[in-house]
Amino acid sequence: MIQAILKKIRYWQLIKNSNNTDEKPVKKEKKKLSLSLSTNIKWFKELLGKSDDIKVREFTFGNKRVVNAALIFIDGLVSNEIITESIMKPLLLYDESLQETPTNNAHDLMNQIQRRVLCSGDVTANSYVEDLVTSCLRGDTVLLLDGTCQGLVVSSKGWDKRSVTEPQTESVARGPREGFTENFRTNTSLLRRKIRSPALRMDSFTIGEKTHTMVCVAYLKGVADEKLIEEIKRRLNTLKVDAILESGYIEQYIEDAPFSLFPTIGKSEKPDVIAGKILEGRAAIIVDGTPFVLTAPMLFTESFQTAEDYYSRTLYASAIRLMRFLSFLIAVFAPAFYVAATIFHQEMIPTKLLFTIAAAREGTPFPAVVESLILLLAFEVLREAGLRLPRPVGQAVSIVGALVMGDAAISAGLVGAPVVVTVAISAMAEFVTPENQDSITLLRLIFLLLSAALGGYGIMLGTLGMLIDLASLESFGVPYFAGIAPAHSHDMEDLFVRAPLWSMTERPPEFARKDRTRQKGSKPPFFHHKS
Amino acid sequence: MKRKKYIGVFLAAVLILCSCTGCWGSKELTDMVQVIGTGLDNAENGQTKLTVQAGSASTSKSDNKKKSAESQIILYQKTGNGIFDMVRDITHESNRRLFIGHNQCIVFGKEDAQKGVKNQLDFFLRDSEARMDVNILVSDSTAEEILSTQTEDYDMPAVGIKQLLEMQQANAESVSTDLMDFSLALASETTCPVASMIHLSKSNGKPRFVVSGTAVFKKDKLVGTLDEEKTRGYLWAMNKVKNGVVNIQSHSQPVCLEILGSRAAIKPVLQANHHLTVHFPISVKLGIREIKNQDGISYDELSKQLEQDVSHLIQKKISDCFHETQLYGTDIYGVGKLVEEKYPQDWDNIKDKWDTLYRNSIPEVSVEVKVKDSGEISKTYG
Repeated sequence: MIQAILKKIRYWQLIKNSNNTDEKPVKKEKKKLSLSLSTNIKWFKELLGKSDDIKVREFTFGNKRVVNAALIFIDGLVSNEIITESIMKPLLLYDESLQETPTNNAHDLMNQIQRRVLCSGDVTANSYVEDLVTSCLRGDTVLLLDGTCQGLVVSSKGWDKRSVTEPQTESVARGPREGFTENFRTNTSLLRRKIRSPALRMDSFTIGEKTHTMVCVAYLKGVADEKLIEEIKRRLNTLKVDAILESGYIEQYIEDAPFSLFPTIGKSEKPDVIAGKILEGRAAIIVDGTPFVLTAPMLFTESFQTAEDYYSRTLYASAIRLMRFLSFLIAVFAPAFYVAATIFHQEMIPTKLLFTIAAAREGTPFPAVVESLILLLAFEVLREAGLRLPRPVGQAVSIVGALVMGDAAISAGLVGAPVVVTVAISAMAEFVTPENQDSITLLRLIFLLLSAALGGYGIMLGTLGMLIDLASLESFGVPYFAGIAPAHSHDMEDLFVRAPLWSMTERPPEFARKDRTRQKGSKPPFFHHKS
Repeated sequence: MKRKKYIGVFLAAVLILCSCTGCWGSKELTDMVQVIGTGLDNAENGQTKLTVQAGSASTSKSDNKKKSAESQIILYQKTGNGIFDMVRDITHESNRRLFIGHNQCIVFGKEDAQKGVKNQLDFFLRDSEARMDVNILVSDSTAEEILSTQTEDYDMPAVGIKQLLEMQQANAESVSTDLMDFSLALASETTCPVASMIHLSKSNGKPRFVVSGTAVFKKDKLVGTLDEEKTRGYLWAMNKVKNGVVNIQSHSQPVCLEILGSRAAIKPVLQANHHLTVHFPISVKLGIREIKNQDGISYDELSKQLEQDVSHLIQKKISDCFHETQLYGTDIYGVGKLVEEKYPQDWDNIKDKWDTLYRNSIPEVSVEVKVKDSGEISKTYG
């Protein structure tokens, strides 16, 4: 075990040292297509193997000069309609004599097919076998002609995909209900539909040597800090991994502090949330195959904001925002505070409450800490079980777990009722800020143990440590605790309260460096009446 | 790099050391009983008798499964010299430790208080668990009698006494003193502490606590008591009357007025010949609450008459009380402190003869009464 840890440490040191010497990848010579169609097809088959979903459709066309051709595509990834209507039909009906400029060789013919024949919006020519194979694997169709050393890539993606539905993790009472899907293009289009500005840029990458996953960085040019975009791109470019299956992979590879309890990269399933973040000057990272879009940089205070804050009216939104901060504190500190108060600081508890707690604790066999730990564990088990089980069963499990077990534990005298209440309120409060869920779970445990060992002093030490961690974290060059420390007067508009929309005239100073103005003097009616 | 490593190792060491202490000083609720009242009485040979009323949560499994929490009152008694010693002695007969952080009141027996309470309070001032907001009371008889009585209206008698004292604001006829006030007065050279008096009354054969009157201490010894009327006079002067009732005979019929607010001050004036006059300016706002027969009297007339009558009454109460304290020679108002603040140069000269100076001082009460609220909705018929 220790040896394994030492090995890991050595590996980190290796990474640290190799960071500076950014070696350039050796470019492998790419294979070019040959002039012979049969050779080309052979090469394709060599590369793609004998999988039965790979279709090679050989055919001939032309009336004056008969040309051998082949379509290579992967069944299931392509839309058969596109292949028939936009590729096969025009080609088979192709009549060279109708064309104004006669073609002399196969190369000209290919040009003509690309320009005048194929009824597809996206046709590109390429002469490298590997590239063509990659296009095939993406769902495009490759058209090869005999006598040319070029192939045409015709966009023909058409696979089964989930439709745009309401995301389950971020449901709202008010606001758009659409959510991102697993389909990359759908996601980018959802974003484009929110921000119809030419300044919205989406720079794409392909990451993953085996998965060739599309990853794109979306940002608002002129608003987002260019250094930030460069930094994100730099980090993405350093990735040399074989697979990216979810945006979580990207998150873990490019985040600033992998061992902090707090996430330094945000995520959301909702286009309106991501659009809002982009408009504030952040960058979004969309990854193919997952509805979770990342945003960077992320601030600590961001996890207390929701889309609804901006859709509902100021006063209510502000009150709810404050309540969220409060529930974060409850979620983290409630069990720790309970334990510290009951085993160290009995004088802190009001006399009557003390007697109530003492009466409930009477006859329970475990110390207060153990009680809390048992219940916390039980809660985590229930939550995990509820998450994994099929939905109808999940509900049953939560009811049995929460109601029956909780009540039974109390009446059997295993645990006291106050500790159940404390753990329950803490657990409920955790869900108010879902983005902090991971960190809260761990923090709560740490604080509980600290308070069990050192009481209020322990809680204070832990808080100090947490604040130090928060204040020292950075997310892509932006202080993680920004808004609280360092504070900027404009942060206060959107921190503990949400100022009226018309009064938030500037973008947050942390991200938007250049174009800071969000709006110019769109004042509410009551201002007009006065003047 | 190396330095960073050392800092890391150091921090880790501190963290591990911290957690190695285990639950240092932790005490489970189930291992302690909560002291809610302590009583101190005289015993033979100059010893002290300590009565401790403690509440312990007990669970009675009355209806099979549901546990109903009931608090159980436990009484411990010890006789000895030091209170701390006696408290620890109780562990011989109790399986749980006494925790005095929730002590509600300290009751002194009358005889004990007359002998002096300083040495007994010392423990409560020094102990880390004891709090300064614990109420000080003097029993008419013994402290034991008060603390060993279970009344029907409170399941925890000492907590009931504390609540009773808090309610006294509504009638403004008895004082409520906590350890903080008491010890501050003890520490002062001139000011004398007061405490509320408590006794038991029987109603329908069942005992009940009654808080009324004021115990007046000189230094730490009980020298006398003020009755309810005089206590009101004391409270008027101390600007502590915020609520309460004033009963008065006006137009040869009883009128009941509610105190809506009062503002009072104490202003000592030292004459050149070292004669002390104590001014008690006070303004009071009243509202009429009960009047038997208002026929034929206009509101203006009535209120004018009432204002006059009440101001006489207040004047009398304040000066009566002052005279009584002069008899005991106890400056419970803290006049001496005010004089010291106002005449720092003269203070050194008069400090030694403060007692006689106070006994011979003249109170001057100026009362301003306003009847603000007639309480009248409409003319009553019938």
